[in-house]
Amino acid sequence: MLEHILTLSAFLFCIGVFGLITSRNMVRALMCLELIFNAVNINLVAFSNFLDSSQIKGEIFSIFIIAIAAAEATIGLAIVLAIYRNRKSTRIDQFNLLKW
Amino acid sequence: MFLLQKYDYFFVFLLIISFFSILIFSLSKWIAPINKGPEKFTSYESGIEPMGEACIQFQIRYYMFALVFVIFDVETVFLYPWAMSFYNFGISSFIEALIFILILIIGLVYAWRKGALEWS
Amino acid sequence: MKLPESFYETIFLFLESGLILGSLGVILLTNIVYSALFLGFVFVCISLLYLLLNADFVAAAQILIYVGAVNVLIIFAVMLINKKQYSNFFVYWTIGDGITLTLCTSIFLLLNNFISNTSWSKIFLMTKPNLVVKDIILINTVRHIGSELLTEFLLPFELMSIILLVALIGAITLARREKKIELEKNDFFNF
Repeated sequence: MLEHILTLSAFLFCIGVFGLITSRNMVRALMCLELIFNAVNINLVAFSNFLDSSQIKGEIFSIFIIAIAAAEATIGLAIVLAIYRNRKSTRIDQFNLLKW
Repeated sequence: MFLLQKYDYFFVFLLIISFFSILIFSLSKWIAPINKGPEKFTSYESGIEPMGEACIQFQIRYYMFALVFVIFDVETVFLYPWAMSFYNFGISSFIEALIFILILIIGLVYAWRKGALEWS
Repeated sequence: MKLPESFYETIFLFLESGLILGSLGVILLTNIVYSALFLGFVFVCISLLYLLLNADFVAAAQILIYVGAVNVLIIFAVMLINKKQYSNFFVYWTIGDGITLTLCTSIFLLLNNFISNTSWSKIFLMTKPNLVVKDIILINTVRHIGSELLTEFLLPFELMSIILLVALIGAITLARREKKIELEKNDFFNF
């Protein structure tokens, strides 16, 4: 059962990495980042259930990760909005303000 | 390894609720009179024609409210286990949570002063 | 009520297929509104998976934060920057996409190989002494998490408030820039 869940989270992680690299829209890249966070969380919760169910350190860690992911999503979407206001576009390859 | 037995009452509740909602909707579909017409297929039966698409551009005000909501939602999630284990620790845990809330109140005051909570 | 093992396997199969289809929908659909809605579906499936793994508080936090707040924020952002850019269903694939696909597939196969080669039964036997007190503590997971938060994880608990404060202030400053510029423009036109 543990192998199934680990394989599932590995699949989710690979999908997230693939979308993060290939997506041309910035909001979709943020969504794929959330998918990667969720894959990590699934791993943590599964290990804390199967191997460490007396003191559930993995669940506490995953709650911290969820909170940090929420903060990251607010900041990232605000940055996307600011970029959209300046460039009138959300394509990730047209955002080369810092390149010279 | 799986202990879903704790949620017996929850699953019974879920079953009853889903059965009840299906019953109510099928009852209203069964009882209500059906008369077909061209007005029945429009989005609003009040006679106002829908204009444009459904995906319109929102105002940025909605985004500001959602942003403040996310932060204080996370705060609520952290305060709930603190409240559940409050009796085991006493006054020290109260002070710790007070520091936690005070730091976030600074953010609330900032958002208020910047006008993120107003619909202007 | 003791449920058989096959019941859990069936539920897990449903969740697995939902997760796979949802995550594929997130990255493959060209209309970004649909892919945001698929992301919410994936989050709900993951929260049900947590419930299956006895992590009830994490499941509730997942529903509260991800589905209730982060997904709504993503949908608002998608609606704010709405542009017609989904003319054809499949976007053209470049060579870089192919390279990334092969790389990600190879990473997945490698991880799969590691997972299947590790002997988990030995690790189970190593952590067996921990499993004795399981039934006593699992009655109230939330209380246990709270006491851990207040004793061992006290410093991250307080630092989390500072991170949230920074996120709030930074996001408000970034998102509020628009109004001032519009006002200046209006003044310019009035002159």
